Amino acid sequence: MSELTPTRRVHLSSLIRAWIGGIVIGLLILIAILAPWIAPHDPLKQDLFSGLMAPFWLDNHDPAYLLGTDSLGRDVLSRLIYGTQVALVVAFIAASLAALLGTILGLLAGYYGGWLDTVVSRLVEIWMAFPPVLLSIVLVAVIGTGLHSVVIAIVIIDWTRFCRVVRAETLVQREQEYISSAVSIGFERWTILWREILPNVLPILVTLLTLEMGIAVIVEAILSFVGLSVSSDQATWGGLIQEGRQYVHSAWWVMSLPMICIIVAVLAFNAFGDGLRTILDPVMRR
Amino acid sequence: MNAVLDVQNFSLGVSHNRQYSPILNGVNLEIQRSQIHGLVGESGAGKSMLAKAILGILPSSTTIDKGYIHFKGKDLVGMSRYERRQIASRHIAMIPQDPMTSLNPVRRVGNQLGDLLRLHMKLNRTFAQDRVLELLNDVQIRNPKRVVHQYPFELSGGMRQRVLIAMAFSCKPELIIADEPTTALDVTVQRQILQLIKQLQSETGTSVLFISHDLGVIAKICDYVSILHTGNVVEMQSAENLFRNPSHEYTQNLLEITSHYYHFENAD
Repeated sequence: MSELTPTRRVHLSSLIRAWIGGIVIGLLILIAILAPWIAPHDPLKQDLFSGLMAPFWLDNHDPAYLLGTDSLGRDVLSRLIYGTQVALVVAFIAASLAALLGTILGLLAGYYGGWLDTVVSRLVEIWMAFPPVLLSIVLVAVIGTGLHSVVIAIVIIDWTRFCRVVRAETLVQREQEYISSAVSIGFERWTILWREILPNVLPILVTLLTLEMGIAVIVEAILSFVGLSVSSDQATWGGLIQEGRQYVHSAWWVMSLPMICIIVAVLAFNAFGDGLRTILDPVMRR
Repeated sequence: MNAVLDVQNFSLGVSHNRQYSPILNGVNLEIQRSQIHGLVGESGAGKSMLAKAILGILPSSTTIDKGYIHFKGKDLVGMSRYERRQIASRHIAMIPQDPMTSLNPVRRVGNQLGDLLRLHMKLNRTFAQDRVLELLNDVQIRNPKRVVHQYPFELSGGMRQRVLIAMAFSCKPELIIADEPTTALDVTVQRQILQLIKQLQSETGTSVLFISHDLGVIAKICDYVSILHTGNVVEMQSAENLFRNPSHEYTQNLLEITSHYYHFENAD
């Protein structure tokens, strides 16, 4: 029986984290895709005679509504399932676009320096001075509601996270010996940026991306909560929380269940990203 | 013109916090074809600065004041990156000081060598792969098929330096700048690496500018030696002459100290 070395133990635990996070994310994706088939009810169908029914483990429940109903008698489970769609679409698209924009600007600013770096850095500083949630609410209020506005708002606000980190990392990498080697060999600048620097920035970028997906889920929920996300007839986790808030004393599950969904999704993204970071680091990858 | 590299009256300095300090002050240096030319100097004498100037990788804080560096008759000073890529990059290679940091840590050794071959030798992927194996074999790496798939951190310092030597010789350069290539290695590996450089040099006929502060190493490998002192080349002689009758006072002192050191070491 071989002893576990410290690095191996770190590696094993992050492997487990990555797997758990990955499996949960995979399940959420499956739920989102299969929503029309697995949701027991139409998420929009009202049944005013059976409003605020309890979930199955409490008294006063109806076996037809596993997780109970909201005030209009809509099935909470079905609404949660459909809410997954919006949450994941926003998480993946918004986070990826924010990462793309931030990474490109960060790489260019960090590598070329000079006026480009000055402009980008000042821009990031100005951006960071705005409170993000407020900014997103204002943005959506200006450009109108809808899925694309939510995505645009998140991208416009959160590209700075990527830009700052990628720029800093690029600055570090740029001064390394292997970069001056590559310069003296005669590789072109963009080749060096793409092939030498980007792979070194990638582990931190992946971590940030998955963290950002978690953040995007939260931002989307906030925007739904204040009614600025997708149109109000579409089920979202944030919208469910907002509706449930009014009945929290008589029917706590309407608000709590979507909260649990958000927490699980965010934790899964974080665990996945954290695990991936260690796995992607070639020094740890033995 | 027979000299591969001709440095004339070359001066540069570094600005730090708006304070300018000169480093090289009118350096003259000539490297002939197929010659291993030693450049000796103490730490801070500006050896590496000269190497970086030749390779075109001076840090942005340095300014070149005057003089020129002719490589096969073309001036490298003030050459744009584009021109340098066209004219010089392929023909001037380097063996760096620190093998630990001179390979990209997240890329496989084979890919890093392969990129170089594809850039300069215009080989396609398959040919490059074969050539990489040959090159690793040439630098006496025992298991090239495994090494190409390894990351730099999986190799020892000596192995990495062999990979870097393979890279330096891979595109048949006319000049190799070896900037203290054995300083970071232990003594036994040092000797193997020196032998390897000498052997590959005599096989290919490449000129080498061999930078070191160690006269013992220089004596083993160099045909010709320049002594760099206070920003200037104070003596340029064939190695034989230099060790037999050094003309400059600094060189005499240097040799004396070195021999004392070796006596002391032997007596121990």
